[in-house]
Amino acid sequence: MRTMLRSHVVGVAVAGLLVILIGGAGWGAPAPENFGGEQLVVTIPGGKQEDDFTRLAFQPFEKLYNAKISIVEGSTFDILAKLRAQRANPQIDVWTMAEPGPVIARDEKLVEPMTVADVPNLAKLIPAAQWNRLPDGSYPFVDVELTAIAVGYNPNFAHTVPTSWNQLADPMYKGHLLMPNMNVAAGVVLLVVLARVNGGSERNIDPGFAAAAKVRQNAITLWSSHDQVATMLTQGTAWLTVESVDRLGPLNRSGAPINIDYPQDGVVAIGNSMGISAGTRHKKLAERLLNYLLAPEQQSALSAAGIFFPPVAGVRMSPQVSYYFPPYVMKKAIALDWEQIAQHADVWQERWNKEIVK
Amino acid sequence: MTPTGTAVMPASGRARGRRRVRAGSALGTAFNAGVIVFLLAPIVIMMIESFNSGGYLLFPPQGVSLRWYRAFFDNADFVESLRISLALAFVATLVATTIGVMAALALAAGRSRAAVIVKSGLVAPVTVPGIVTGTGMLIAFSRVNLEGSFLSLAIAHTVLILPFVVLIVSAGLEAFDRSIEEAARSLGAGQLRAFLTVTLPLIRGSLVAAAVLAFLTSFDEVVVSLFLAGPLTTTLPVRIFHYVEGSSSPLIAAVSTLLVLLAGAVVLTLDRTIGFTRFLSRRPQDS
Repeated sequence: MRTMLRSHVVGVAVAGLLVILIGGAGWGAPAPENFGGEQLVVTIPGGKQEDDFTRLAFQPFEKLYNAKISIVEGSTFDILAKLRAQRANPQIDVWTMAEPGPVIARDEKLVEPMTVADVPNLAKLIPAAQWNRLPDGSYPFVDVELTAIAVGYNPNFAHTVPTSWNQLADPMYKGHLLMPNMNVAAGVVLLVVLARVNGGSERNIDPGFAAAAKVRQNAITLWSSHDQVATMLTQGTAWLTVESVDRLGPLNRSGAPINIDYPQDGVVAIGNSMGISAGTRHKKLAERLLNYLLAPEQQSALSAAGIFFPPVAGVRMSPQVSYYFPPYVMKKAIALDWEQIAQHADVWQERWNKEIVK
Repeated sequence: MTPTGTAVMPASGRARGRRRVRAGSALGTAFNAGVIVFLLAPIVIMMIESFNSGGYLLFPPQGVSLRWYRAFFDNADFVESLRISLALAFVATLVATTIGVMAALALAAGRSRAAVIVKSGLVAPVTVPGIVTGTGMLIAFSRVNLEGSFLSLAIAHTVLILPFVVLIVSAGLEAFDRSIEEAARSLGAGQLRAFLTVTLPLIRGSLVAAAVLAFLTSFDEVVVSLFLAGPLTTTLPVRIFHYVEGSSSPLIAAVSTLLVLLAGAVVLTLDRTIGFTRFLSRRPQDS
């Protein structure tokens, strides 16, 4: 009798322990909140990025949090115009912009800073993505994807690729270079990196303009939209260009005759940033979205689809991402001083129009 | 010399003259053909590209396929944008045509300086850069919480296409004989009846031409719409603009080909049925 009772007690204890162990797998992780169909308006560039983010992030997020994401397509400066116009009554809750748009938005107090307490995955950001952290540890915006500026070339025509940025001015490329204009990020990066490799910097841009003027001698034209790059490079109208890898990679992957080359004297990482609009009525949901986008699982899927380098640690990178962003390259990638760039952008643009575009 | 004393060119001179005229005609024809080829070549290349079987734009195409047309109709966002653009163009055209015809009639009736100023105001939107109009409307509509709404786009498009209606209908009314309408009125027809049964049929061609041009202009509008489009009101040109920024697939060529065919079908059908293109420069009495 005593043996039976002891067995019974042990059995109940074991069963109880099993229930705790199995059921307790959910105890440590809180269930996602239910936002009751709350709507978030998110801006994102159209095309592939919108498709990837919708399929891999926004739709799962909507199901997980019982929310609705409405997308507004836009590029940096028309989104900035909208944020300014809607300052008193923001219609956009979460925005996506490339540099220097986010810095300008921050300086004009159009953004809602995020703390690690509200967006825990901010703590996982790699050093290259922490450049805009404020002294109090908060972030006015966050890079949700990183890419690099590189040389894209058509191997059927460009049999020798530049090993340094200054080599873009080599006479062998005369009439075959598609140079980025300064109204695209690649153009700004080219100007600054030419300054840096010639003894200058964001605070001393003159060497950059001098070198850019030499590179300009080789340019067929200056490109202002990414489809110009795709068309002219695949057709062979241009042999090589300077462009971001998240644009060149998908073209290479789709079979276009475009390869990627990283000059050895400097690799610049830039990001596509997302942030929360100041005065948004959906701050909590916006924070959940950004935290979700920065989660290693989402970053793994998004980076493989869009070909970009994840800004957070702990991401299982696909072989393709490693192929386009070799670890040895990304280890030495540098971030530019976008604060200085945003301060001088107007003056540089005017000077660029006079000295380079002419 | 003829029996009447008129000097006659010798036969050899007439032959040289005919050769010069033929050479001139050939040169003119070649020039005209060159201009037409120059204007149409980009559209033709785009149409050919739309059947490209490859994943990126390349001319000549890598193969022939209808995949990008299928991709368009499978893309719910593009189809929805098409619906929005059609609805917007229809509403804006209806409102602009109504206001524009009334304005044109009033301006034709009065020849005062005030009428000239009013007309200048009505057609001013075509002289203001679209980006200025877009920015201004964005700020104005944001103040009254209309930004991103269908209403704001409809108002913007109406403003933008109204000048075309006013100008074309005004041109059609230039030689309109108001005494015909006055005769109808004197015979007992009310103002509205006289307008509907006398004036309207006489300006029908100009009206249709104005409406078609207004519709196509609204459908194609992108600059102002870029500023005003919201998540549920992204027009097709705006979606195409943003898509091209992020992708280089022949999907855009397929969409563009469909738009060209749509516009062409509208113009051709109306020209075949009512010959409306002639009314762009014709008098009402010639209807």
